[in-house]
Amino acid sequence: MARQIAIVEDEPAIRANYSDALKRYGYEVHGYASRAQASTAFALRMPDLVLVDIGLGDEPEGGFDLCRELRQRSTTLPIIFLTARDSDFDIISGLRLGADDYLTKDISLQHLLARIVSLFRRVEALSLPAGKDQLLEHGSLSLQADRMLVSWKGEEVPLTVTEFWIVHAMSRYPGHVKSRDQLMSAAQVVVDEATITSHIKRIRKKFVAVDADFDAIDTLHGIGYRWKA
Amino acid sequence: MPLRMKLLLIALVAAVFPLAGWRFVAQMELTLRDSHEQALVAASRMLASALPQLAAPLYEQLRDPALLHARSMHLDVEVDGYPDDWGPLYADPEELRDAQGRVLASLYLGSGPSSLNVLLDVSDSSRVDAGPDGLLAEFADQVQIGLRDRFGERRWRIVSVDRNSVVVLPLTGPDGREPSLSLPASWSERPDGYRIELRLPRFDQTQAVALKVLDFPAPGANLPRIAGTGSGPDLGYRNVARLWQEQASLDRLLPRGTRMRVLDRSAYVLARGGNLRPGSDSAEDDDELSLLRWLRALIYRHLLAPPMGSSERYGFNQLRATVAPVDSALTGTPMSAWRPAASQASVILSSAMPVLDGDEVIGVILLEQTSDALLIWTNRALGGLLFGGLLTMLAAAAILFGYAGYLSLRIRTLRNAAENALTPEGRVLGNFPRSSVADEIGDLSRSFARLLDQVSGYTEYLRTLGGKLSHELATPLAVVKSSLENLEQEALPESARIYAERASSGAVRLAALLRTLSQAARIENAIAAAESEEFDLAAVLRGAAGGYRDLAQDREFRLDLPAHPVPFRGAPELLHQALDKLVDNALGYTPPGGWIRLALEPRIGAVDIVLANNGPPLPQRMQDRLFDSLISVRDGRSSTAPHLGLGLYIVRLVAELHQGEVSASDLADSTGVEFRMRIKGMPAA
Repeated sequence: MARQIAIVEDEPAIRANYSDALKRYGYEVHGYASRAQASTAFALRMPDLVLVDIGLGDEPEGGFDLCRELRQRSTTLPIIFLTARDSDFDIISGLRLGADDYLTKDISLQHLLARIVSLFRRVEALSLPAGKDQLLEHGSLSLQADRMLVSWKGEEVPLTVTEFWIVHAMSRYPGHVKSRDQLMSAAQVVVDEATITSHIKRIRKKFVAVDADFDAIDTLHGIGYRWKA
Repeated sequence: MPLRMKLLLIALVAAVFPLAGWRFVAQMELTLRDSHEQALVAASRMLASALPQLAAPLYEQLRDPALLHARSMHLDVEVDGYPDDWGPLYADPEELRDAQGRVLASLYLGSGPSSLNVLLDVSDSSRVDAGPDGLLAEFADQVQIGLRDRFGERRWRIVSVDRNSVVVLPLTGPDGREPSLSLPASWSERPDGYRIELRLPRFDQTQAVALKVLDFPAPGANLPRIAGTGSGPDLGYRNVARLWQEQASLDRLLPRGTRMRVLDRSAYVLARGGNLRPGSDSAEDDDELSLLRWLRALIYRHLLAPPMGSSERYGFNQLRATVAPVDSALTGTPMSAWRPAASQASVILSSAMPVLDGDEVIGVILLEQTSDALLIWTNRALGGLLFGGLLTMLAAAAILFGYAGYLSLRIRTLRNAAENALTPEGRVLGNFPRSSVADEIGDLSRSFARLLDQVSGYTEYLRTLGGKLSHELATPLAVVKSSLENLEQEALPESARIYAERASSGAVRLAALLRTLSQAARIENAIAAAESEEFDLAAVLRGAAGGYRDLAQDREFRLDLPAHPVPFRGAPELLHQALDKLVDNALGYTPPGGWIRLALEPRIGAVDIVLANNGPPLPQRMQDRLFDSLISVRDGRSSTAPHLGLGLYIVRLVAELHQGEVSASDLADSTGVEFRMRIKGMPAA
C-alpha cells in the first residue's frame, strides 16, 4: 500500500504544490489547512509521515501543539517541521518535541523527497533486527545508517535527518576537513554558511547533553569542520 | 552672551531700589535741613532785632564805625619785642595805611588785666634814627600814640635812638601838660622795618587810642609818610572795644546747643557766647566714635550731603569771622551755610543776620548750631534703607543669577544630550534623558525624546526592513518555487519549457537575494549575541589565509603576520566572516596577475588587520558610505552573485563589536586600495 503522508499547511498553494509533487512520486497525500482539521483526521487514522508548518492560520504555535499530540500517540511517527524562518530552528530544537527534521520552506522538492525517503527507510530499518544495518563505528561514536541512529559512548543521541547526514559526512572520514559546501550537499540543503554553523552548534549541544566532555567536532575557521580522528 | 549674563544685567534693574531710596533720603535731608535753617534764621533775626534793647552798650559799640579792637588777654605782655606771648592773638591786626593806601603798620591791641597791650609792626625800609640822646627825634621814624581815658588825654612819642633801644618821649597834650607816666616799651629792628611793643595803662573799659606812624625817607627829610588811626595830620582817636565780650542777656535767649557771635562791620568778634553741643566741634571726641559712626558719617558726607563749605575761619577762637555768610550779611543779606564739624559725625549750620541801625548795617549776629540729630536720624534711615536696598538688590541678583545658572545648566544639559543622542552614523543611542519637570524646558526635553524615539523607531524599522522583507517574501517565494518544480515534472511543449526555465532561474536568484537579506539580519543578531573568547589572532588569520590563497587562484596572495602569537579577545568566527567579506570584495577588484595582501599589525592598545589589493582606486563619491548597509558601488563589475553591498557593512559591524573601526583608503603609490580594521578587542563578558 502506498505510504500516507499528511501535509498540515495553511498556505493553500504550497500545500497543493507539495501535495502534487509527492503524489507524483507515488505517495498518497492528504492536506489539512489547520491544526483542528488535522487533529480530527488523525484521530480517525494516523498517517505514515507528517509535514507540519509551524504557524497555522491563527495559531502561531499550532504546529508545536500538533507535534506534541502526535508524539503522545506514536513515538516512531516521522514528523518534519516546515518554517519560513530558519531562526525558528533553535526554538524548535530547544523544545525537544521529537521532530525528525526541520526545514525551511524554500527547500527544493528534490531535497524534501530525499528526506522523506530516508525517514521511511529508517522506519523500516527500525522494525528489522539490528544486524542488517550498516554500522559505522569510530571511537565512542556508533552510527547506523539506515536506522539513522547515532549513539555516543553507548547512549543514543537523537539527531534530525539533516543533522544525521552532517555527522555522517564528517565521521565517515575522520580527520578530513569537510567544507561548508560539502556539508551542505551532504545535508541536501542549500543554505548560507551561518545555517550550517548553527546546525553544527545544535549537533554539538546534543552530544554534550550526553557527554559533557564531547569535543570530537573541530571547527576550522574559514575552511570547514572535521570529526576528530 | 550666555543666558546668565543677560539675566544678571536685567537683575541690575533692581539697582533702581537703592538708587531711588538714596535720592529720596537725600531730598528729605535737604528738606529737613531747610527747616532747621529756617529755625536758626528766625532765632538770629530775633536776636538781631532784640540786640539794641538787650545789649545796649554792645549796640552802641556797633554803631561806632571806627573801632579799635582789643584782644582779651589774661596777662600783660612782656615788652620784649617778641610776639610769642601774644600767642594766637597775634593775628588779624588793624592795618594803618598811608595816603597812597599802602600798609605802613599793623596794629595789635590786647586788653590785659591792667594794661592795654600794643604791638605795632611797622614796615620801614628807610630807617632814620633819632640820633644819640634822641635829639633828632622829631625827624626820626617814630610812632606817636595817644590815650584818652578818664584821666584825660596823654601823648607820647616813641623813637629809637640806635637800633634796638627805645626812647619814649612824652608829648604835650591839648591841655598843655605832659604825661608823667612813662610807658614800658620795646623797639626791635626787623629786616623790613621795626616792631614796637608797649603797654598803655588801663583803668577801665572806656578808652580811646590814637596812633600815628611817621616814616621819614631819609635823614633830614621833612615829608614823612604818615599812617595812623585818624585821617589827616592830627591824631585820630578811636574807641577801643574788647573782643569776645560776654553778653549774658543774649546768651539766655540762645537755643540749646547754639553759639553766638556778634561781629562789627569789620567782622571782628565783639561778643560771643553759647556753645555747641558738647563734643560736637572738637576732633578729640572722634576717639570715642565707633567705626560704624564714622562709616555712617562718611556715607552721609559723600552720598547725601549737599555741598558744604569749608570750616576755615569759622573757629570760635578767631578774632575775625571773615566767612561767606558774614560777608553777605554785611551787605544786608542774611545768609546761612552748612559746614562739616571738626568731629566727623556732625555738621554745623551757621546763620548770619545783619544788625541794623535804621537802614545801615552796623554788625552781624552769627549763630551756629550743630546738626547731629538730623545727621544721625537720616543716617539711620539712610543706612537702613541703603543697606536693606543693597541687600535686597544683591539677594535678587543672586537669586536671579542662581536661577539663571540653573536654567542655563538645564538647557546646556539638554543641548549636550541632544548632541550626543545620535552616533556619527545617525543611529539613535537611546540614552536621552527625559525630564519630568512641567515647564517649557521640560516640554522641550520631552518633545526631543519623542522625536528621537520616532527617529529611532523609523531607523530601526529601516534597519530590520531587510530581515522582515526576506521573511515576508519567503512564503510567496516558496509558492513560486514549488510550483515551478512541479511544472518541470509536467510534460511541456518545448516553447513553454523555455519560460519555465527562465522563471526557475529567476526564482533561484530571488531566493539567493532573500537569503542574503536575512543573512544580514541574522548577522546583526549574531553580532549582538556574540560571546568573546581568548585566542591567537595570528593563528586564525594564518588558518584563513590557506583558503584565501586557493580562492585567489591566479593572483598573488601575500601574507604578512608577526611570528609571535597575538593574543586577542573576541569572536573568531565573526572576525573570520568579516575577513571573508573583505577578501571577497578585494577579489572582485584585483585584476589577474595582481596581488592581495593580508597583514596583521599589532599596535599599542589595538591591532590592525590590513587587507590591501592591487587595483583601481576607491570611488570618489562613495568614500564615506562604503561601510553602510545596502550600498553597492560595484559599477562595471559583472557578477553572478547578487550584490547588495552587505559585505562591507558586516565588516564594519564586526569591527565595532571588537571596539574598533574600519576604514578604506587608496594606497600612497596609487597601485591599489587598502582596507584597515583597527580593533581593540571585545570586553571580557
